[in-house]
Amino acid sequence: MTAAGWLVGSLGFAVGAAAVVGAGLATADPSPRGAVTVPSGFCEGTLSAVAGRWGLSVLAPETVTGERDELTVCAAASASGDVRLTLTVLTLVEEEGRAADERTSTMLDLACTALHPGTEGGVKGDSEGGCDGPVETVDELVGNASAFVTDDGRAVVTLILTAPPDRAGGSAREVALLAQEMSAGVG
Amino acid sequence: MNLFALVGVGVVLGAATSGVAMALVEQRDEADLTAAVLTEDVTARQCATAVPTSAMESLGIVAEPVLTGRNECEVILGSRDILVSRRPLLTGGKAADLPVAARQSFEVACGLLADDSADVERSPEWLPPSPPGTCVRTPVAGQGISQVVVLTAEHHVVEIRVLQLDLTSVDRLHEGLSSLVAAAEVVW
Repeated sequence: MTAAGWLVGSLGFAVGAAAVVGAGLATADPSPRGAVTVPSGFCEGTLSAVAGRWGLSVLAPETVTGERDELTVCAAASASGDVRLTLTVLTLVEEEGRAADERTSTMLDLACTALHPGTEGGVKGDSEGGCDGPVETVDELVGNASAFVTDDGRAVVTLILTAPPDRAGGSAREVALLAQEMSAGVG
Repeated sequence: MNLFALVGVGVVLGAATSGVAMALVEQRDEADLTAAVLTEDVTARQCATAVPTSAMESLGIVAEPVLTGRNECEVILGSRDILVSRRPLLTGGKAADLPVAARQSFEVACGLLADDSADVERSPEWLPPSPPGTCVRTPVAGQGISQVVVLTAEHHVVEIRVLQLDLTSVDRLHEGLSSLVAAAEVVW
């Protein structure tokens, strides 16, 4: 083959390689989205109904902000402290090249482990789709807890309602109602 | 050879070569990530070290810790429980926001301590660097004392739960927890 032939062939090689690499870059993940912002008044608005039914006062929310993610902690408690509702909302930022749902699934798994320690995955709920189950102390039911990812895939929510055993029976319904209300998102 | 044929062959070869190279790079990224996550698993040896005999003696317990399917070391004592868990915060090959994830762990663990008529003391002013977060439930009669301690390290949260112990003295609980905290700091 002549030098001109090699030159033309190499040019074709470069064009082909550039086309494939370019196509790969063009179809890469889009720029990551920022964190969902939990609006002011979120805690009061979310917990007021259940607080009214259980005679609780909604406590001042707390926020912990990291480099990328943010945790909002809401709580409501009875005057004597025997009933307590804790709600955490962890909003996650997408990472370059990794969608938010990859991060939320990891954090959901951690939340489910924290809620139901000592149990194998799936025993008290499947962390893939969230988890929920009773809170028990010395073989007595003292509440209910749930963790899930909002439908938009941007936040991991945990809900814990504990109460004396004679009142704890109603906690499952309250937690389920709250989870249903919040599943649409928090932003 | 025809000039167009030469260009065509070059294009096909270039596309094939670069395509294979890109696929290999992606595969290597995934393999590195998988390896990183797998090495975060707690081993049985770490589990035995993280729950030392001295801590168990302080808490008046004679039992061996077992490794659960959720990366936790657990001493199961009927309704009572001692649980030491280490949760790696690797998400997509990068660490999660540690203070944020640790606070979530703290709130969940503390929220699970049913208040009932007991006094639940929360110490959330623990954000790094010190001190660790702790939540303690001390019933009036001393039956069913519980305490949760959350520690943070570079890329993980360590959570120690001592639940429902019947102890006549809170000092014994604190002594046992100190041993567990010290052991966790050594292991992780």
